[in-house]
Amino acid sequence: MVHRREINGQEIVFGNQGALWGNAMTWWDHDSGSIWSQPLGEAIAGPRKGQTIELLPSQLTTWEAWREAYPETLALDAAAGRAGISLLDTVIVVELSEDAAAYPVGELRERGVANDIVGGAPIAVVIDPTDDNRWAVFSRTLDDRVVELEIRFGQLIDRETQTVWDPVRGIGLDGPLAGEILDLLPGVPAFTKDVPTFWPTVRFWPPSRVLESLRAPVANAAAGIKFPGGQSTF
Amino acid sequence: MKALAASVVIVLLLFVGLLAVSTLGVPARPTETASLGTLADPDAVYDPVDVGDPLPVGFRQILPRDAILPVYDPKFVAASDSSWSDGSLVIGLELDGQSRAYPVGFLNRREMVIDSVAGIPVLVTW
Repeated sequence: MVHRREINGQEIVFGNQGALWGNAMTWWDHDSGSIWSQPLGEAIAGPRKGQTIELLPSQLTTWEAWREAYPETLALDAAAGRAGISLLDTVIVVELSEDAAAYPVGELRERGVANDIVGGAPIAVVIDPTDDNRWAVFSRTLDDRVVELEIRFGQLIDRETQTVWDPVRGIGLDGPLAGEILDLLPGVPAFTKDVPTFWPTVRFWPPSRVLESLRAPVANAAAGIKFPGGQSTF
Repeated sequence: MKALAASVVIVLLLFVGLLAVSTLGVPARPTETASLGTLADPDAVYDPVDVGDPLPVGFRQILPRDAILPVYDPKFVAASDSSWSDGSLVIGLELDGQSRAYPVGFLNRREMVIDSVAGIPVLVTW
């Protein structure tokens, strides 16, 4: 996860509290000593209790996939070591306006795109058709329209105008919407087993998954969205 | 005395010049260091655990603060100078046209990197 370590314009330095809460790490901040929960980005004890810091969009991907998308990238001057996990063990959690949805990487790889609504906002989680280790979360709202995205013939396109979009940066490449940009949104890579701990009201995508079928209508109703027949908008 | 002082100054200037030249002669490895803000001693800062502040249910203190030391002074190299294998998992971050990669295998051990990218103070955690 990547957070902006700033509160009201003040730069904050964080350290490692050395404690677990909900099986996830906690931090201390160097100026007030407050204790923070990593997955919540929120102070859970001390003078700053209840304050939050902003989650920033980041990727969990392979070095090859990242380097190809961002050739100018700098690399932390450190040995890579062993990650000990596979991307297939993870989900991408999108949380907006107190609504949270989890998108399993395995499901995304099969379907390419999740068109969904989170916290009332149309979003898409997109797997790069040229490298399924690369993903991004986009807002589907442009100035005057909401797009539905899909992968067709190895390209990311929107259904209405057939514009081809860059699946990593969200730039319209070719077609009527060329030059327009789909805004990147924060997505949090997380282990599937940790998700209900930190996002108790989370729903899993796609909503037709058996285990989630009871919860999904509630969450979707909260977002003011109805999926006919319990199907997603995919 | 004046002449001596002047020659000392000249020698000093030459020395500084030589230093500059020798520095320039070293192949520049692209490194960047983050701006950090104020670092504090873990033992000198208020700790809700020590003073008995209320803590949420399930909170477990396991190690002293910073026993797993965050990277407070991250350094970076160009992608072409990195020796990571293609399949290494990384956290990738792009802000205002600047991008960075932090390897998960390294973060397994150090857990936190305190960095600044494009002037934005960031906290990378695993």
